[in-house]
This record gives sequence, structure tokens and C-alpha cells, in this order.
Amino acid sequence: MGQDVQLSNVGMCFDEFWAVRNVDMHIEAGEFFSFLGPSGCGKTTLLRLISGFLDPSEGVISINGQDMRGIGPNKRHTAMIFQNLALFPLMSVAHNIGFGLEIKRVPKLEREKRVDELLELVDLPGVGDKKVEDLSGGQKQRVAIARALAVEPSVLMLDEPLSALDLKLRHHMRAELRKIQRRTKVTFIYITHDQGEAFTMSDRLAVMSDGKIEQLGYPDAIYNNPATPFVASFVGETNTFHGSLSEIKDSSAIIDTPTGPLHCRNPQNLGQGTDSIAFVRPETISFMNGAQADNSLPCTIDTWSFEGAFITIQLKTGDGKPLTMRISNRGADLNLEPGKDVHVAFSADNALLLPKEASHA
Amino acid sequence: MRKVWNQAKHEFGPIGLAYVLIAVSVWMLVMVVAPQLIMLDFSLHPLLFPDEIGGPKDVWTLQNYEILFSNRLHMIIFLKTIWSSLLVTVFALVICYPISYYIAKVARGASVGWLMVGLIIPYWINELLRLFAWQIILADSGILNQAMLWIGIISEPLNFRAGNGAVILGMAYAYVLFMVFPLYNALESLDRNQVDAARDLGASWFRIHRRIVIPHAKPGIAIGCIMTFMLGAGTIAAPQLLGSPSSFWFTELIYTNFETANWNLGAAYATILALLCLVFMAIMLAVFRVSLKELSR
Repeated sequence: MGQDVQLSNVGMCFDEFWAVRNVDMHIEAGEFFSFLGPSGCGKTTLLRLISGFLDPSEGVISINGQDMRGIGPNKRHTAMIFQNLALFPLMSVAHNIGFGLEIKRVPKLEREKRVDELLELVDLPGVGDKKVEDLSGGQKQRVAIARALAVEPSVLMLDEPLSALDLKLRHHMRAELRKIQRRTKVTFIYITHDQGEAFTMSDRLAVMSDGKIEQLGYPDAIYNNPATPFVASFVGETNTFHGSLSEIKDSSAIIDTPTGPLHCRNPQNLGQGTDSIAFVRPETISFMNGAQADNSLPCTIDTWSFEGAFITIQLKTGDGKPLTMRISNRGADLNLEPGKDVHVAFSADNALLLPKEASHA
Repeated sequence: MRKVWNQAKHEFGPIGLAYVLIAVSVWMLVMVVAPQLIMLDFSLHPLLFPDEIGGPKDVWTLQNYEILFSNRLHMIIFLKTIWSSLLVTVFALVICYPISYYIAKVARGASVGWLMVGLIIPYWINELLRLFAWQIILADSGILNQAMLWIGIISEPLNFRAGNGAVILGMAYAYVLFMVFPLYNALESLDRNQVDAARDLGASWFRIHRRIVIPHAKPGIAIGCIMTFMLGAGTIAAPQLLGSPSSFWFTELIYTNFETANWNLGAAYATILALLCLVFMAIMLAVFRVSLKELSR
């Protein structure tokens, strides 16, 4: 069964460089939790702190309520799946999976039985005698999962384990990991720079940047209501409009941008005159069909690309600003031509206003 | 074979290929094969007066080899050489394994370079000079005795060079590098994550080394042991400079035979020494289950 992980004001400093700062959060027992962030954001450091390979420079990590200070990785009920999997190449598949049990001095017969069960769990029955090098990428992946699960960890940590796989296999393994997590009820802590992975698998996730947690929440909340400009631009694609907040109307606000005034949602209640950025997702922009919209912009089609289910259109606004919109393909001929003048629109609800000063961009 | 031939021809051109073939074969035949065969021939003939050579007594015989087994003293010296070389090998392995592991897997950045330089610098000095240095350190009135007397650990100078200890110490010192580099090479290629993975799965440091690190380093350990053993068994400088007058080593025995014009016995003993090294090599490869192919890794 999974156990919860509490991080209290955790910081990690390497030679005056703070790789992780002020991380204060709680991961529920049995949760599939992801850390999402660009490379160098400190997510691997955080994982190594939780697994015990590093000791935090400040703060406390507790697993199942127990303070983990001074407890090494070999004494924690955690297991890690490494980015390169780190399977033992000189051992057979069965010996790899049984390694942790061997260390725990589990008798040979019981060990073999357990290894078979685990191979069953990861859908690889009968490959125990094979050499690691004879397996395919996806199979190695599963062996690494089985090896980590063999020691019955309460918390399983996964360090971008899918990054080496091809796209199709990666999608398949996402579903597999989620399935295994549900079956075993172990707390999964997953780190990735791939938001697709984080969104599809996680119960909750934290977006990290520069060693700090920018936002923590449910995938839909993070996508729809990013709390900082970093999250808004890192998670998903977005169009940005810079401008000064000129007028406040109930829950919405108007900012003056070079493109023109825009009606926006103002969840942080920014005051008049604030330098702000409006974030508009490409999929929330549509062609004007005569109906009244909060924001409508005359544009020219620049280029467009057909992606099967979607069509992504690059536009230029009246002031020459590039704008991306994405519409679903309904089979109709849209009569798209580069250079054609169109009107596009989006509602104020889909234009999220955030303060500029916190921006990393 | 044909493929290798064609590739070589393509690579070097006909003249280049001819040059390589001739140079390599001349080198092999003149410098390696011929002297060995001449030595072997010497060892299989009895010691004769010059006028008897070519005469009826000049026959092929194993009698030079038999002397080792009939002369008890020679046998003891031979066994002592094996034992000491083994001791030096084990000693070097025990010292070098942690050093190599530290340089290969623990140390980072510039400190790796400094450690390497620190290991290599002594080898800029000739082996004889280094052994002389040990002589100075270990002499009755040497640095070590002086220091220990001064601190007051001992009241009388110790005779470090009485037994074979000083020779073994000197050899271990002289050949440490030949153990460090193969080990370092092997350990360097070990994925750090494998060590972490084993640790994460609950393994103690001892287990990690036994199950993960040492199996990975096997080819390096085998090469290091073979080199150290061969150098140890074959050295003459260390026993001559650091050994006590009463102790005699197999290489000294060979040397004395050549010096006293009994080339035949010297050649036989030299051949035995070479065979010993081959046998040791075969044993190491078998023990570590390393194939010759793996050695080139």
C-alpha cells in the first residue's frame, strides 16, 4: 500500500546554487503525482531527495509521518525507476527483478514465485531467463517497473522513464503505468518535462521552475487556470498579449494592447494600470460567425497546417502580431488561403490576465 | 579473412599493405619469435664445454628443467617467487580497488585530474631510483626508523629489510599503477545509476560491490592482476635493491646462471618463469570467466 510524503520547507543547495527552494507540499498516499517542468528546474533533485540519495540542505521530508533525515535510500520504503532504467546488464531478467528480494534474503523458491507474479503483472510472462540486452525498449521498461515493485515499495519514483521510447510505445506505457498504479495502490511520484504524460497519468501535479513549485493542482485546473505566467506559457500552447490594465468591470477587465483593447478574465483582481499579460489558448479562438463576441480581431491568414483531427492556423493581426489558432477538423472545406482576410474571436473567459512582473519570459 | 584482407588493402593501398605486413612480420620474427626460440633451444641442451658442442653429448634433453625439481633450494626460491608475486598482486588489488573506484565514480571535475597526476608523477622517475628511495626510507638509519625513534615508538632501529617484506612492499609500490589503470578503465564504464539502483533496492555497500561493481570490473581486475603478477614475478631490481643478502629470488637465480655462463639452466628457468606467467594468466581468465575478447573492452 502507498504511503504519503510530506515535504516541509525543503531546500537543496549545491555549492551556493539552490536547485530546490522552499518546497512545501503533501503527496497523498496512493496518489499518482507528477512533477512537471523544463530540464534544470530541480525536479530530479527533488526526486533524489525523496528517495534519499541526497539530504536536503534545509527542511524535512517525512514519509508516512516518519522523519526521513539520516535514513539512506537502502533503508527507505521507496523505489526508483531511473531515466536510463539502470537494469543490471550482467544479470538475467529474473535476477534483475529478484535482486531486491535477494537482498532481503527472501528464500529462493518464494523469490522465484514472486518474480513470476511480477512478470505477469507487467505482462511479460516467461522472459525471466532472458538477458536484459535481448529485450526491446518497452520490455526493458516493464522489467524496470517489476524490479522496483518487487521490494513492495510504498512510494515508487519514476524519473522520466518513458523518454527513450518511441511515441506509440510511450502512449501505450502511459496507460500501462496508470493501470499498474491503480492495481498496486502504491504512491507514484513521476517526473517529466512532457505535459502530455503529466496530464494523462496524474491525479495531481506540480509545475516547477527554477527550483520552486509554480503551481500545484489537478491537471484541468493547471491547464485552465494557470497561476503564473510561467505555468501559462509552459503548459500547453498559448498566445500572449502584453498591455496595461485600463478598466475593471465586475470579474473581467480590459487591457490596452498594441492589437487593441481586450476583454479578459481577471482572477487575481489586478488593479488598474497593472502591466499585464493576457493568455489566450489557440483552441479557444474561433472564426467570427456574425455573433457578438467579447474580443474580435481582424487578421490575415499566414500559413496553416493540417494535423488530421486539428488544423493549426498561423494568423497575423492588424498590427502584425503573430497569432495561433487551432480548430477541430469537421470535414468541411474551410477555404483557407494564405493572405486571406478573416475575423477571429474569443471570449473574455478564455483570455486569462496575469501580472507581468512575475513573468520569467 | 578475405574481408579483412580486402579492407586492409583498401585502407593502406598495395604498397602500404606490403610495408605493414613486412614490418610486422620482421618485427615478430626477429624481435619476438627468434630470441624465444633460441632461448628454448639453449634450455633444451645440456651445459657443455665449447669443444663438445655438436658432438655426441650435444643432444636434446629436459635435464635443465629437472634440476628445478631435484634442487630443493631452487624449488623453495621458485615457490617463494610465486607466493610473493601472489601477495604483491593481492596487496595491489586491495590498495587499488578503492582508489580506482574513488577516481572513477566518486571524485568529480578537477580532482580527478589531480588524483591521476598524483598517481602518474612517481612513474616519471626511473623504477630503480624509486626503489633506491625505498632503500633510503627503510634502511637501518633510514627516514622511517629515524622518525619512529624520534617519536619514541621504538627504542632500537628495526631491520625492515630482514625478510621479504621490503621486497614485496617495493614491488607493490612499483606496480600499483599497472593495477590502477585497468581497474579504473573498467570501473569508469560502470553506470553510476546501477550503483544507485542497487542501493535503492536495499543493498548495503558490501553487496553493491559484490553483486554490481566487482562483476562489472572483472575484466579490469583480471588484467590488473595478470600485469602485476607478471611484473612481480619478473622483477630483479626490487629483490636486488630491497632484499636482504640472505634472501634469493627466482629472477636472481636466472641472472646468476647467465652470469656464470650456464645459459642452458638460465634459459630453462626463464622458460619456466614464462610458463608460470602463462598459467597464471589462464587461471585468472578462467576464475573471472573473462574471455580474451572481453579483455579488449
